[in-house]
This record gives sequence, C-alpha cells and structure tokens, in this order.
Amino acid sequence: MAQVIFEHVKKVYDKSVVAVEDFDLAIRDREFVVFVGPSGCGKSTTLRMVAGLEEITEGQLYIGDTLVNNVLPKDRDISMVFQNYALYPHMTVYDNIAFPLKMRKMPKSEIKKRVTEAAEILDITDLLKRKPKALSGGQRQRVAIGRSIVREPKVFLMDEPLSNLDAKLRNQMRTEIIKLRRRIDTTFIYVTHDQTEAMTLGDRIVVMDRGHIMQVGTPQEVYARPANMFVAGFIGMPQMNFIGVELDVSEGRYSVLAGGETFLLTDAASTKLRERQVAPGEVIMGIRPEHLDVGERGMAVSADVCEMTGGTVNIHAFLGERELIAAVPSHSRAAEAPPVPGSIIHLMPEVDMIQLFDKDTGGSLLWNQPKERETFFPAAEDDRR
Amino acid sequence: MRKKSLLGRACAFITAAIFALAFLLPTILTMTNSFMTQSEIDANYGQVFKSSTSGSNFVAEQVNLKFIPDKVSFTQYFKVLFQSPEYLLKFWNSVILTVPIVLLQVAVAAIAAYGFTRWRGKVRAGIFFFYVILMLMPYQVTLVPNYLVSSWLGLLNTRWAIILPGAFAPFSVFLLTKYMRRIPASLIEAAKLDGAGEWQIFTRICLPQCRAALYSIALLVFIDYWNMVEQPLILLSDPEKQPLSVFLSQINAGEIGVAFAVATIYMIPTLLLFLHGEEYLVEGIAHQGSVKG
Repeated sequence: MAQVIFEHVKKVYDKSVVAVEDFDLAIRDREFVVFVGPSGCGKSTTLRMVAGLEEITEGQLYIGDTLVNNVLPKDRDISMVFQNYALYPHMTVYDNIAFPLKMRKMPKSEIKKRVTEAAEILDITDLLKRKPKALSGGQRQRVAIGRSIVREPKVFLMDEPLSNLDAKLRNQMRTEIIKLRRRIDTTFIYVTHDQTEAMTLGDRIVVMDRGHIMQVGTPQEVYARPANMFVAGFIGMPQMNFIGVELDVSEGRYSVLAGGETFLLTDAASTKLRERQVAPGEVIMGIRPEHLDVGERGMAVSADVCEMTGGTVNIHAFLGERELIAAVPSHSRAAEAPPVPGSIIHLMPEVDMIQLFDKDTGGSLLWNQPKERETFFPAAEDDRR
Repeated sequence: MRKKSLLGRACAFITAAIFALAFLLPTILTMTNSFMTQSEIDANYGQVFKSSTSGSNFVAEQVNLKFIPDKVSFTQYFKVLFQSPEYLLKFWNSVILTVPIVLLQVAVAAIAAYGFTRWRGKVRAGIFFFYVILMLMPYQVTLVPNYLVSSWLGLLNTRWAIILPGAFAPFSVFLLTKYMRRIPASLIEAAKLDGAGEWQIFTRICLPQCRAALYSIALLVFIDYWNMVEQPLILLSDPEKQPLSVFLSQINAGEIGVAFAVATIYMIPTLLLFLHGEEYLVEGIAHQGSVKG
C-alpha cells in the first residue's frame, strides 16, 4: 500500500514565513494527484516534504503505514522527477538511470535488465551511451523519468516536469505521462502551475493558494463546482467572469439581477440556496466564458476586441467597468460577424451554469467544500490505527 | 556588436605578441643556453658573476645575451644527470615536497569546499569569512607563526614543516567553494533520493563535476610549491633536504651552465602538467568568477 496521508501538515521557514498550513489530505494507493496553484502557493514545498527534502514543522506525514516525518529521503521508497531534470552531467544516460540501483547495491545483471526495460518503455534505448548535454529537452526528461521508474518506487513525485519544454513537446510529454501512468501502477503526486496539465493528468486535483488547500476534487468537480472564487478563477481558460449582482428571492425561487436583466436560477440552485438560508442581497455571480452566448437577449454590454483562438472566438466586452469574455464557437454567427468595438451587444448566460459566491468571503453559495479526508478517504485513519 | 577594424585587430595582436615575447624570452633563453658548451657560456656570461675585492659576488655589466648556441652540446645535461647526482637529489627533494602538498591541499580543499557548499548558516559564513581574510594575507605574514608552530611541534628541519602548512591553504578552499556552488542543488537532492549518502554524493556527484577546478587548483599549487624558496630556506636548515628551487636561487659563478640545464629540466614537469590539462585549467579558472545560484 502506498497511500500518502497528510495530517495538519505545516511548514514554516525562518520561524516566521508560513509556506504551508493545515495541509490535510489523503492520497489513495495508485492515485494520480496533482497539486496546482500559482507561484508561491506552497505546492512544491509540500511535494518536497513528501520527498524528505524539507523538514515538516508541524503535523504528520504517512507514506503507506509509516510515519515518515523523520525518515531520510533515501529510506522513503519514493522517487522524484525535477523541473530541471537533475541529470548527472558527467554520467552517460545508462549510468544516470542505473545510479539509484547501484546505490542500492543491486547485482549488475539486474541493473542491466531494469535499465534496458526502462529505456524501452521510454523509447531511449539508442541514447544510453550519450551524456545529458547531447540530449534535447524532451530526451532529458525521458531519462529523468527513466531514473525514477527504474527503482519501482512506492510513490512517484514530479515537480513541474514539463515546464522547461516548449508547448508542442509539453503536449507530447503529457500524453507520454498518461501512458506511463497506465504502465507503472503506482501512486503519483504531480506539481504544476499549468491547469491544463492538472486537468488532463489528475485523478484528483488539489488547488492551493498561499499555503492552503482551496479545493480537492476530480477535474470535473473542480471545474464545475468550484468551492470559492479563487478556484473558479484559477481553473478554466479564459478565466471565469465575475459580476456583482443582486440576489433576489420570490416564492422560494431565487433569481439574480445582472446588467439590467433578471435571470431566474434553476430549481436545484434555489434548493441549495434555501437549504443554506442565503438571504437576498449583493453577491458575486460567476459565469465561464464558454457559458455566455451572444444574442438578442441578456446583459447589455459594450463590445471590445475579439480574439480568434482556433476553435473558439473570445469576444471581450464591458459591463460598466467590469470586463467580460464570451467564448463562442468560431463557426457561430457572432464569431463570423464579430461585433464592432463600442457597439452594444447582449450576453446571455446559461442559467444552470451560473455560480454564486459570497461577496465578503468569496466562498461558494452553491457548493459545500467537504472535509477532504473524511469524504474521500474515510478508512484511512482507521486503517492506520 | 561591431566588428573590430583591421587596424584595431593588428594593434591588439602586436600588443599581445610583445607581451607574450616578454614572458617567453627568459624561458627561451634558458632552454637554448642549456645546449651551449661551457666555453660559450663562459664567453657570454663569464663577467656576470665576478668576485669583488671584498670576496662577495656581484653582477658585472658585461653580459652577452645570445639565444642560439654556436654549437649544440649536451655537456651541461651530462653533468647534471650523470656527473653531479646532488642535482637529481635536489630534484627528488622538490618532488617529495611538492607532490604531497598538492595531493593533501586538493583533498583538504575539496572536503572543506563541500562543507561550505552543503551547509549554510551563520557559523559557516563566519568560518568562510575567516578563510577569506587568511587568503588576503601575504605568505610572509604567516611564515613566522608557521615557524613557531613547527618548532613547538618539533617539526623544524623535517619535510612536514613545509607539507602541513601547505596542505591547509585557504585560497584553494575559496576557489573550490565558489566552483562547487555552481552545482545545482537539485542534483544533490536527486542523489539523496536515489539513495546516495553524504560520502557518495561528495565522491560520485560533486567531485567529478569539479574536475576542471580540481585540476587547475592542483596545477597552481604545484607551480607555487615547485618554485618555493622562502619556506625551505627558513624551515629546513639541512641543505640535503632543500629542493632544487633553492639551489636555482643561489647559483654561483662557474655553475651557470649547469643552472640553465637544471632549470630546463626543472620546467619539464610543470610544462607537461600544463599541456596535459590546459583545457581543464582554462575551464576551471574561467568558471571561478561565474557563480550561479
């Protein structure tokens, strides 16, 4: 079993800088979990605590059934792929991949067998005699992955492994990682600031900000049911539109008044708001660009520029001071005849896709953020005890 | 960037050539003159060391600097190698003083630099600052304390009086620390995760990457101690134990021909080391100033 359990983990640098706080998470055996967040949110620090490269200031960290707070990195049975590959420049590719096995004093025949297998999996057999400086970025990344998988670790850590690659290679390697994950059945923890990587790779995503977990969920959950404005804004490209609106309730049915137009919320949304006893008043409405349509009805806005991105056209518009973006299919009427900048157009939100947030806390008024470990991994604590 | 004009390049070339020649001339003179016959040496340098009435030597004015011998002769080399074994003994003295110093200094510098690179903190910063201060002191300042400590330890007139202070030189530690800091932290971390202990990280990850710096330090230390004069003069009272460099600094009239031959032989190890590791030397020194975080 290679579950990884964080119990109220905290990391403080120099007795004053809090990098990670109250990090509470249970990662299942063989799960692929992605830590995502902006720079400085604490995701890499958290990963490095799992690796044993950073000390844990407070809390407990378990790998499998073992408390590893004071266990040396080499004894944790984990491996890590670094952002800059961290290949040993004076060694050949073969020696780089074989190094962790040599350190474990494995027989030469076994080392050769494992290195050959890993090289075949990663399609780098022809490169085994080369030195890292004679490799391209993608090849180096494969070698780094090879060095990690050859040891067959319990937990596989990846710290922004694709961020040094160009866009095309990044897409290619992303697919390679998905295939790799299918072949080596182990627990993965992957750190990235790229939400596309997070959405495509992760079984679950942990969205972080300023050292705290903002939300944990499957890519679909995080995208469709953001727990707060931070998650809503961070996940999705272009970013979700946020508009200050007036929430009203009439005969138990909630509606919002935005841009001079009233939008009646769905029954499901009204039920949730009723259950949470949300009072009418000012709230923040969130709507993703792809859920805004340009038509005859809706919020009256002043059109600005249009961006052709291929499959969609992003129409920028202003509702008062607030900039909104509507992403419409490039074959739609609005895209084929883009609005003239300064002209008045109407944006109609898909009502069932409207998100509502508390204007003070930024928390979602529609979705509860469950206690992660209780909901997703109820047996974890009992198993250990 | 604009291309330099032909005139500019010519000027630069001529200036460089003049400097190169100025540095090379004594070496060329020594090497070519070592192949002169004794009579030719006497004719050219007979007046250089002339006894004064008081009995002390002084340098006379008549010197005939000549680069090409009239007749190539190996007489001086024959004398040095076959007739006067004391020169070879002194050469051997130089070897057994310099080689241990080079090996020990490189080893000590590598271990100290690794310590300075891997562990940070106020104590480390303080010790490193102390090293830099020591490095800034001229050798002559530490010579007296070295003498006193050697005397206290009973090492005077033994080779250890020179070898031990030589093994702990701050300059090599400083250079190697700067070089080692260029090694990305992620490499050390990767090695840790791969199962390497501190000794394995040092020997299998750090040292191989510092080959250029280690070689350049070894060469610089070798040149420094191969040519030392003050230390053996002060710390080794027995002339039998003194290296060849001391003899070369004390050449007398009548021995000048031999001195050319000895000096030429004496240059060979340094030249060979330089030629062997020229590439490393350039890389090692070039990287000392470019520290990357």
